[in-house]
Amino acid sequence: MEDSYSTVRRWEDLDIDILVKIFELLDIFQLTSGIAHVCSTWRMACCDPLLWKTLDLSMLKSNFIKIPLEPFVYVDGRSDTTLTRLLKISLSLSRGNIMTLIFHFNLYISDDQLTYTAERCPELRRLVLPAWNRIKKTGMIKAIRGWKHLESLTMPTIANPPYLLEEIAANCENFSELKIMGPCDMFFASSIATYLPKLRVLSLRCSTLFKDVLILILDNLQHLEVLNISHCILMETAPPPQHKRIIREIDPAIHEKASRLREFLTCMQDSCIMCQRTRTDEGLVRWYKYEEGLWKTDEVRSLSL
Amino acid sequence: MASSSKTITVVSSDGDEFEMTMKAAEQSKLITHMLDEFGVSDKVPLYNVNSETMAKVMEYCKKHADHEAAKEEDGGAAIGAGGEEELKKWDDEFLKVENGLLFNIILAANYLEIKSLLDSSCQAVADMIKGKTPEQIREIFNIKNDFTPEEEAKLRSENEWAFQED
Repeated sequence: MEDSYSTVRRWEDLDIDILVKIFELLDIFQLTSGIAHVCSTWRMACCDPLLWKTLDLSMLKSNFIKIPLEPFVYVDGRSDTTLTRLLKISLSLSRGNIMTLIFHFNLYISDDQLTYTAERCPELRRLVLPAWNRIKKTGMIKAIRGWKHLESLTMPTIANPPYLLEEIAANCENFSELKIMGPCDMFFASSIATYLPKLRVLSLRCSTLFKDVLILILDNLQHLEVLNISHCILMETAPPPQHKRIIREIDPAIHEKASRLREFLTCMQDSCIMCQRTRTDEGLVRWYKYEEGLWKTDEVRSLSL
Repeated sequence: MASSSKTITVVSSDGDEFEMTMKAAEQSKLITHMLDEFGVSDKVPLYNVNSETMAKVMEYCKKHADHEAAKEEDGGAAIGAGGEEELKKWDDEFLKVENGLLFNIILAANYLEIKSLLDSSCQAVADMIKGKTPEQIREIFNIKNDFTPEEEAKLRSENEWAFQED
């Protein structure tokens, strides 16, 4: 017990639990800007697993411009360096204890940064990575292979999902939750059905969704418990000249199929602001136009940030 | 629960005695447990807290007990909408003390299990740390840099701008 008779208090001897409590009040920038370099006990407190369960980098965005060629974004060197430094220090202090990793939708992490990060988060359970522009297939495969305990993934729409889902199926025994921030087409949906038949939670909110895709999902994902299609523009194919049309109401047959789900989350109202925005943005919401942090919400509690 | 007019006596490590109302004593989980265990008639020894710190803790507990009592009266009308903010301002001023005392207050809040005081005092320290370099932090808190030269070099490499081969 502390010697209460001494008049000189030593801050480096403060209980580790209390130091951790103080450090919990700092954000990631403050935590990595030198606290760990003050003295050895403070460094030890900085490495406490409690501080690193979640690495939330969602306040960091890339300084980028759009370009007409792949990868369609060019990231300023300094912004890349800032991210690298932050990752390096955070991953060093976290000592492999990170369980949840969160990136902003305008943070264009590079392939190298992803590999570096993945190697140092072997315990990862949940990844929120909305921007894959600069990531290569090989990089993502390597990362997934290191994440044996991955349970939940939030990702953008990608053109060629089978390679990813196949890798997840082979490596991530406990994978159960997927959120796609963008349209889920027939190809994506059938890939999910093929490779992740045991999926329990799926969120496709705020994008274009075709009726036959929805039916395929409901018919094939027998273990699905939660499906979120809130604010989606539900569509079906139609004869020319329309070719497709918006469906205003979910028909009873679909509700019947969805009745076995624990939660079937829908919202298709003209008065709903989010529904209006999805329509304005033609099925692929431009989150940068709206309130900071809006992209983080999800009607599914476990997917909300 | 005993009526709030009852008082108990706590004894600091310096042997000084302090009186506090039951309501104020309830701010501390530790004191509450001790009273439940041993009854209110005896003096409660708190040998981990010196008199200077004890006086401050007493002040805090009394303020917060009075605030709670006022909230209960008139269903909160006495406090009003600005009441919580006012209390927070009071807490902020209360914690503007020299570092040695702040240190003792944190330890006392932890030992006595006074959650709100522990939370506020930790926040006060966090605010002092924000935006400071390691050297500045060491100066403020009079902390000795106890890293070896080898450890120092390793730490410096953490701040390199590019990835190195680990």
